[in-house]
Amino acid sequence: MPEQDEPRAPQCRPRRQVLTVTAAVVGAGVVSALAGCRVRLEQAPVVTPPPATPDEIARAKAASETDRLLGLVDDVRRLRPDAAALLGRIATEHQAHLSALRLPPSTTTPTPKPTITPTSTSTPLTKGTALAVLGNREKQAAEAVRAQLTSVSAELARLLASVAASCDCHADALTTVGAA
Amino acid sequence: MSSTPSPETRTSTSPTPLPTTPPAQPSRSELQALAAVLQAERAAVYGYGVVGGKVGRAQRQQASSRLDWHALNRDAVAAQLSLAGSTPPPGPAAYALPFEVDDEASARSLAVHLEVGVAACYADLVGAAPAARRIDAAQALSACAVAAQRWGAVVGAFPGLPERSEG
Repeated sequence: MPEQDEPRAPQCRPRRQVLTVTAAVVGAGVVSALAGCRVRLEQAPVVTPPPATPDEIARAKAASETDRLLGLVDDVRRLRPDAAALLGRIATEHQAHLSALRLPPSTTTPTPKPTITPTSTSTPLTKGTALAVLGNREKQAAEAVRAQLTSVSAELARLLASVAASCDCHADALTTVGAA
Repeated sequence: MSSTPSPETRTSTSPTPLPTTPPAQPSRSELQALAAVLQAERAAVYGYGVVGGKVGRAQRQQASSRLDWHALNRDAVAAQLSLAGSTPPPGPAAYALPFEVDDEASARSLAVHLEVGVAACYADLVGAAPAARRIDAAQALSACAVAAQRWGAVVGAFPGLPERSEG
């Protein structure tokens, strides 16, 4: 049995050596990487962007809400091709909202993630419920956009009020079509 | 002022006019916007009297409800101006209609014309009012936009903002 034990000893030593060497290499790498970072930081210091303004936050929230509505409109269009004309108009108007809400890239600053929670969609989206579900989401979007009016500039408030009114019009039209 | 865009239902059950106790003295621009809303609401009340006489029975109720809604808001805006110490400008005794109204179709067009005009004034009021008073004006804008749509208008993506309307 000693014959079996002996061969193991020489195997362990090289492994420890390998670990030691690896640690040394890694350590050196970390040091050199940190040194590199230091150089980079000195050469191009990170500029902290200015905090997002209330207008930028409100625009981001409203655009996010509109994006979600557009996705839902697409889903409803697949289920209700008979309402394609109305749904196409609604989609076009939401695209116009997005264009108006998104600032030109040169003036945008990083904004925090919108905190709008996904609206409850407890009603499953079927051919029978699709228009009503979309109508409810449009109403909720109108209220969410209007709720932001108290924290934004006068110019943006006017725009947001109009976007909210448009969502209310969509909800009303969907109710009419859905009831027909 | 209606808080949801269902003017017919809301005005017949629980009308909620503009607040008559402004928390702060309105600015000059807000007073001007309120005066414009007042003039537009007066014109709408007059115009709906014409509309009601030309539409069929099915839509007479809709015209009547909208007349009531506009009358309520006219009075609320006038009261708000008075509370602010501003004398509401007198309204004209009669109005020249923008086009001849001699049948149901032209009456519906007049209703659309009235709602679109009042909506634009409320949008301007949203821009002129302080934060605390914007939501009421925005809800009135929505109510007018929905009403215009129910009269047959395609209100477009930006109701109340004529500078953004196509064409």
